[in-house]
Amino acid sequence: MNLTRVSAPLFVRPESGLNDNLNGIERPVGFDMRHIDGNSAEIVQSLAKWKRMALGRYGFNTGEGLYTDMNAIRRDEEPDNLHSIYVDQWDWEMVITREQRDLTVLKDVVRKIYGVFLETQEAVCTKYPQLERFLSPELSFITTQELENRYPHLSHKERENTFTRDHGAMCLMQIGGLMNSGMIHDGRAPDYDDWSLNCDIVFHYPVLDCAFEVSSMGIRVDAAAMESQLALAGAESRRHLPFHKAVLEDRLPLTLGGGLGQSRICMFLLGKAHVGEVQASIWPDAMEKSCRKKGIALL
Amino acid sequence: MASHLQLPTGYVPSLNLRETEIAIKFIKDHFETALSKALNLRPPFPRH
Repeated sequence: MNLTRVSAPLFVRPESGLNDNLNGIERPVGFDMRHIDGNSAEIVQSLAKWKRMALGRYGFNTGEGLYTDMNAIRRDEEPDNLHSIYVDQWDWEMVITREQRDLTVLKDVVRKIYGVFLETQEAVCTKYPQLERFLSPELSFITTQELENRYPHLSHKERENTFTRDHGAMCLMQIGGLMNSGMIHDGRAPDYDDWSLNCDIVFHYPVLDCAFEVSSMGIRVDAAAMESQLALAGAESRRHLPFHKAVLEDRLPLTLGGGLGQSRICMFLLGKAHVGEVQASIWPDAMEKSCRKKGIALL
Repeated sequence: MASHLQLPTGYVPSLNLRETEIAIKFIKDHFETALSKALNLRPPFPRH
């Protein structure tokens, strides 16, 4: 996929529109700056929009792309075995043509990434023979609508748990838009992924008997999808932000990109019970105490 | 917050703390290299 490693920001100016708003209710960590004009900055919650802006700014061509280490703080995250206020990812983004904005292209990239998971699992289990191999040889592709049709009476989380328990590894596509039931499978920001062309890679994790998301990715909004999704999300006030204006005016490249959770991947391949066993973060006191009692060593 | 915590019965980590730290670096180095190869990276930045 022809990717170049680049340096990425830890913080951005809020008025740029570049920070990830996630589901629209999470509060980024903001701070003022004594000696810098404009006075305030926000620590990134993801780089989903920054990467696309960088591809445009640095003149990447079709078929070329970038990748970077992303560190983010999500102060409103509810911590549990899989979720931390500290998020570390490999973030990548590549320029595509309009003709490549389809699910076939997305699936091809997903297959390549799944191959990397299988290869890494093999390497780490060879080095540490006491570790178990959890990945199934094949990845199953399914849309959120197909999942809803299959399990109409289960919650979205139960659907993911059940499907991954039965199939091992899943690429769940088309997340964010309304399904036939009138519900959404899960919230997605309206201003980066095209909800009809995105996906999550989710594994079954036997240690916790749960669905375990390791990656979120997608073909990004073009002008039409941005227009439509901002309206659906009631976020039309963002039209005037520099990033959003650039997309609406077709001044940014069409791209496909995603993030792969570094700590999540380490946790999965090492068979850990808690993400805090592979990253240093802050946890509720009660959680720390319970983990200590059960021999779960948080870093 | 403890209500969101799962404590799997009979859980014993396969690697101790030190082994875990070494394994984390191994996984991260290997995964990034494999991802780069799968995605066909070009020579480094900056671009002109």
